[in-house]
Amino acid sequence: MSPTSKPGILFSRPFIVRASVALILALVCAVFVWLVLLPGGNVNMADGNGASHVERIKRLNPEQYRNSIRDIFGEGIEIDGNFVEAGQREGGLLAVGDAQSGISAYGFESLEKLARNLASQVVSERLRHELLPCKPSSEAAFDRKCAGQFIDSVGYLLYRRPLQDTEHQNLLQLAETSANGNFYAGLEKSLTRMLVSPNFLFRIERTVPDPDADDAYRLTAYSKASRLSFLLWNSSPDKKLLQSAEQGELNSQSGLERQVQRLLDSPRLEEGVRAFFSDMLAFDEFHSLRKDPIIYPQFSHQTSLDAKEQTLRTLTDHLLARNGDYRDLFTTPNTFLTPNLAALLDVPLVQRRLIGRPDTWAPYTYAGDDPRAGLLAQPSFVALHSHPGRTSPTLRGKALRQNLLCQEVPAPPPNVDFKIVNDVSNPDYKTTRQRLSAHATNPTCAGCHKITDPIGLALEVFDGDGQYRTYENGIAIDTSGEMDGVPFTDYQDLRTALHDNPAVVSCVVNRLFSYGSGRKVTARDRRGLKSLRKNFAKQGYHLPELLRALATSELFFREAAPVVEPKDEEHVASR
Amino acid sequence: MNPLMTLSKRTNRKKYVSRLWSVAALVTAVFLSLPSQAETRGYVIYYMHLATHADPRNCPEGEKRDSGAVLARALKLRGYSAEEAKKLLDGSESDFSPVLGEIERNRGFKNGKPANVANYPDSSPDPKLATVNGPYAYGFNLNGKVEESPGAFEDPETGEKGVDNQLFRAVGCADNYNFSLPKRPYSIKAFWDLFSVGSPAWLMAVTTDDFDAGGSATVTFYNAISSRRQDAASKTMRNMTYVIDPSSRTSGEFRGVIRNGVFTSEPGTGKLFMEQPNYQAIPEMDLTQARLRINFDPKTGDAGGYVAGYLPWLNFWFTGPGGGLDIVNTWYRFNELADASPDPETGKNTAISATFRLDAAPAFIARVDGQLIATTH
Repeated sequence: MSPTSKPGILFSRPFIVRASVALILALVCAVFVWLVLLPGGNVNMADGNGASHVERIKRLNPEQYRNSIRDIFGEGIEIDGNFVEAGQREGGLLAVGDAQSGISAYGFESLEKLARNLASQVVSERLRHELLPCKPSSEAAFDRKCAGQFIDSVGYLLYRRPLQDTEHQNLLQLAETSANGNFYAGLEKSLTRMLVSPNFLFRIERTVPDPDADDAYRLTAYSKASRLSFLLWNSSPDKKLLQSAEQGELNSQSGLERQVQRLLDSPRLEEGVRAFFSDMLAFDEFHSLRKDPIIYPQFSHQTSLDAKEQTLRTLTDHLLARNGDYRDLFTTPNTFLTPNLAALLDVPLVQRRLIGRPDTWAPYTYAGDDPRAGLLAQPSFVALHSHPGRTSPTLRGKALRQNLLCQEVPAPPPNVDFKIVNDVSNPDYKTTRQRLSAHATNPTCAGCHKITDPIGLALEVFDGDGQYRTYENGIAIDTSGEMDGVPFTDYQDLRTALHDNPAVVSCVVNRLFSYGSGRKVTARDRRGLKSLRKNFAKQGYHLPELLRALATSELFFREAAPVVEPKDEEHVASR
Repeated sequence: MNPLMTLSKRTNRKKYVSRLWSVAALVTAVFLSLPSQAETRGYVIYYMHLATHADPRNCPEGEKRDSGAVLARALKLRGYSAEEAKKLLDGSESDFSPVLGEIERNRGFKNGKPANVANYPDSSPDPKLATVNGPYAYGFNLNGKVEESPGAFEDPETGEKGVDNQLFRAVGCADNYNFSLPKRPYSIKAFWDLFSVGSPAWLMAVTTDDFDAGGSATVTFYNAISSRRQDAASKTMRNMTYVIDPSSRTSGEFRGVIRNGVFTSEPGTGKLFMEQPNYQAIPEMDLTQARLRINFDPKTGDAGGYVAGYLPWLNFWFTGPGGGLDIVNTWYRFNELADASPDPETGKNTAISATFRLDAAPAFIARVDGQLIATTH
């Protein structure tokens, strides 16, 4: 279809938008009905903290699901399957969109299949002795006491709170009726039920009135535990954290600080940091990243996987292992490479790798003022935000504004004529800058291109696959420009300008808060966020300090008073 | 003006100029004697195969070019009628026929019984398949003589006369070898593509003072510990780093000159030994009196050219790279056309002049201790 042809009604933008919204609403409604309204529904909204209000229901994403299973049942479990539910980005984050997402019928089918497989592994002869808290008196008879112990201990970790009596009784009954002379077959059924329960698949955050502030609500202790654990570990809380919630430790500042310190000291922190930046940098777009192999033969599928991993390794190395200044990410010469990436970037990487052996990662440091240093020069940025066969200063500029500076860039108007920018063989416009200049003469386009293109054009020294270049079609690339009043001559200047841009800092603080809380920043959060920013600067822009400050702040656990009080709180709590 | 003063000034000036010249000469001498900063570029070889040149004059019409006629004869000797032989040979599955395969293998006769021609090639009569008699073949004048036409070869690229390439003369009329670049001998290419990605890569390092200006240069060959890696378009991944296998027997060094982007080795006693990565694509390379010519493409960064020398012909006969050659015919042809290394006892030549095409992509090369010895630019 040509860019100027009129699309059919079914594919028109307004129709797609309306249809998407309707679908999302339908899913949210379906989940709500599943969770709350169905008679005998298998969700219990209480979490042992008395009368409380359901503030937010957040779907686990695939990584959180996998991490939780691994952390609860150990490395011996093989997670042979996946569920992929398209996430929607809200406020720049999937984590916020997950609070408005449900699970499709197809997704549920996959989850149920996966749950059956996982449950059969847990009770298998290979793992049962390791994972079950007790041994039945006889495998052929139903041991009620042992089954109860198993259901309580596993349910505690899966539901991220103690089971209610009715839940316990229902699961025990299911195990007994399904046993049929095989104790473990009964447990398998019960465990399958727990693994497909919304109490596991969704994080149900509840609030109670905050005794320290009028008109304010705060998360219940178990909800706090989950929020902390998913922020810092991207996984379900462990037994210690749940116990600290149970004992009220998380409601005291010193107890909270103790637990946060424990979580920060754990190697699992790396999982949490990787997950946050994967979301903030929109790495889900790697799923659909494709390059034309004729134009960019060195960008294979493996290179794409490596590009994503390179940035995550650079981030965790710089921010955690080196405890570096967050802003230095834009200038750091330190990174990691695989042979494929090294070849793409035209740098030597000596590995004594024999035939048939897998590639390994190696640290690499660019020399001096090498123009390839810094986060933006990595293929995870310049290749991810390019077209399959050419660069795109506009996409790069837009990504930089939206993902790293938290600025909004309006969507292009409909029926834009992309003829000039798409025609890379036009002899009149040999460089991308020339093509974009000609394209932006259209006044409807010029406004937005002014915001995106100057910074994107500074990155033109990186081809659409991430390779460094200084010429385009025989013409030296002009990388000069200006960002928010700061002029630059090349990418090196741009990365310095970014390093010094206060929006870079405020963006990561705001995004981290939204990511952890699952909601967009509102006016009432501003004071708390300002304080976090000040503390971040005072502490030298070290991410662990920012995480600690956020995770121990009132801001992180405080929620607005519910607009409508729950009508049947007592009824729900007693189920 | 005091004349004495003037004289003294003149004398001083002379001394000063003389000293200045001395210093300039010294600086020039020191500068010239300083070792220049040599540059080494690395390459991974992505094709190496018998250099072929298709020409309508190579193999005159009517001469036998393949083993079909040989097989027809073998079938007749086994008692098949002409009609039955034709049916078998023309059948759509003739290439995979177990009957034909068995007869082809055991078409020799020794002591009145069928004999395997791979073991006893001279137990079958010479099929006398066609040899190349065209004017062109890639290579060098290895023996310094310019043979009289007909039969003399000229290099189609350089115009060098008296090219010695008897291997191409022996096998170049087989259908599998009747190609010119950019087409490559197709079955060799297929085998190379299939096996080279699982075999240790061959590497080439070119050292010179200035690639742009040209001058003296050295080309060295190595084996890598890993295989050549391919990119998303199934071509060679450029700028990959390879580590030299310290235990490999591969060795070869050529000294010569780069002029106008072309390296040409000096004639002399060059030698190249390269462990074969896979026998289906190329024999074990053991070239003596070897010569090398490499073109460097400034646009792509690739290097491509020819390496020639005398190869023990048994190396080639045993493996028959690429297939499609009649084992008996090549036995007789190599015996007949071999042109070097006479056996001290029999006087028969054991080596045959040959030229191989090689193409290579830029690569980093490092020693096993991590020291980088060649870069891509």
